[in-house]
Amino acid sequence: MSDIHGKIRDIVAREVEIDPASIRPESTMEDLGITSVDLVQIIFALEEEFDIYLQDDDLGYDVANMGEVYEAVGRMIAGKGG
Amino acid sequence: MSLTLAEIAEAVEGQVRGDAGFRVSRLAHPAEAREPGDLVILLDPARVPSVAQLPVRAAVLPEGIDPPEESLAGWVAVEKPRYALAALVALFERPPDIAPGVHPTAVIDPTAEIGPEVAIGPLVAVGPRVRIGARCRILPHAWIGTGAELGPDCLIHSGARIGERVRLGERVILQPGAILGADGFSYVTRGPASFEAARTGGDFHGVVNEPVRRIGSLGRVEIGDDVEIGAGTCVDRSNIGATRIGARTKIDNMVQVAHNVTVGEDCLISGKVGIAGSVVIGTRAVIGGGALIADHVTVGDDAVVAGGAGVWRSVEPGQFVMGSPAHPKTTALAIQVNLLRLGRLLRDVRGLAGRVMSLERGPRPEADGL
Repeated sequence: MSDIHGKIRDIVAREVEIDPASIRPESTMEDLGITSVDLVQIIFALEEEFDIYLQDDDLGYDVANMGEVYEAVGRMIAGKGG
Repeated sequence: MSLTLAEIAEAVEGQVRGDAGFRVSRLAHPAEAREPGDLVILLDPARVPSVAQLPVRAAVLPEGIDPPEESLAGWVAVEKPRYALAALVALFERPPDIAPGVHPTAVIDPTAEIGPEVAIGPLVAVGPRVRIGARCRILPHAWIGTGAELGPDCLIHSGARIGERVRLGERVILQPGAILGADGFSYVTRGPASFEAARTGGDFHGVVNEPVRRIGSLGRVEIGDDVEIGAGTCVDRSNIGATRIGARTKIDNMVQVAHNVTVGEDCLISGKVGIAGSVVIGTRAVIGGGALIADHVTVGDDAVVAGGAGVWRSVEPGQFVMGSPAHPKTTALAIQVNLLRLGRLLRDVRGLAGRVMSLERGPRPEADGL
């Protein structure tokens, strides 16, 4: 797992008070007990941490699994660097 | 009372694991379980291992996760524990403690028609021309006004008020202090009223709301079969016609249903919801706690209104709205994220403004060494 994935995982775990070890790329939001309202706080926390703005096209509120979160944040960070 | 795990499995449509003949005598909350004969139900799969720490020998558990070996004599595995809870509680439920017949302190108007096998408790008042269906149970201090009708098998808890001309279907449950059939909050002014002008965006300075004239409530309240209405909930009578609650709808405590409202069948309305006059709510709609629905709005069939929402405009069938003013879920969540972003956005804009200003000023002049 990359450092960025590790940070994302820790932020998600902190926001919804779950064990970071329970979070896997294939984990769905339902698996993790994350509601769409939790996702508001998660998106905000990720944006603060990585100094990015996630657009609806990057990460919607019906995100399928954690892999999509890693991908969307990774894409925005790479775009910022470029 | 005691039941075997086999009997419990049949009632909750689950599968017995272990000793199907093991008997339990009480349904207990896990924090209050004391005896080996207590039965607990765990709703959260993550909590299944904790059953080994409880002094019980039997449980109802979510299927797919076994408890620690030897911790239980047997258990019932169910697909959805919360659904099983409904059947489980019904098994152990005790009926209201009320004697059959009419208590001597009840006041029954001689023109009232009382059905067979009815139980009417102390200090109940039943007005003229009231009709009470068979097997209704009416607990102390309830009041039933002139011309009201109760279908068979209704359960009216203590202190409920059933106003004049209110009609209840079959098996309706009114929780303590529910009030059906109060007059609607309905007033009108001769000229344009301040609230009417404010709503349309007009200037209402200088508008005086007088005289305010009362619009009475000639109408009635009609409650469908199998409706349950919570403690302290009010359903007002209509001006003309009926305020209606459809069959099988469940309304929580402290809900206000104003005059001329129509609520469809099979709806779920949580506590402290406020429904203003002439609102129409479709079939199977769900309204979360504390939501407020403005007058004359329509909430479509199968719509879901999140708790605390402020519904100012109609909601499409099947739509999920949240926030105040309420928006479809995706828009409402985007608004919340954008609100949280404002602080950072402001910092970013300030930073950009500073850079623009320094660019406009151009390069600083060289120091002249003086």
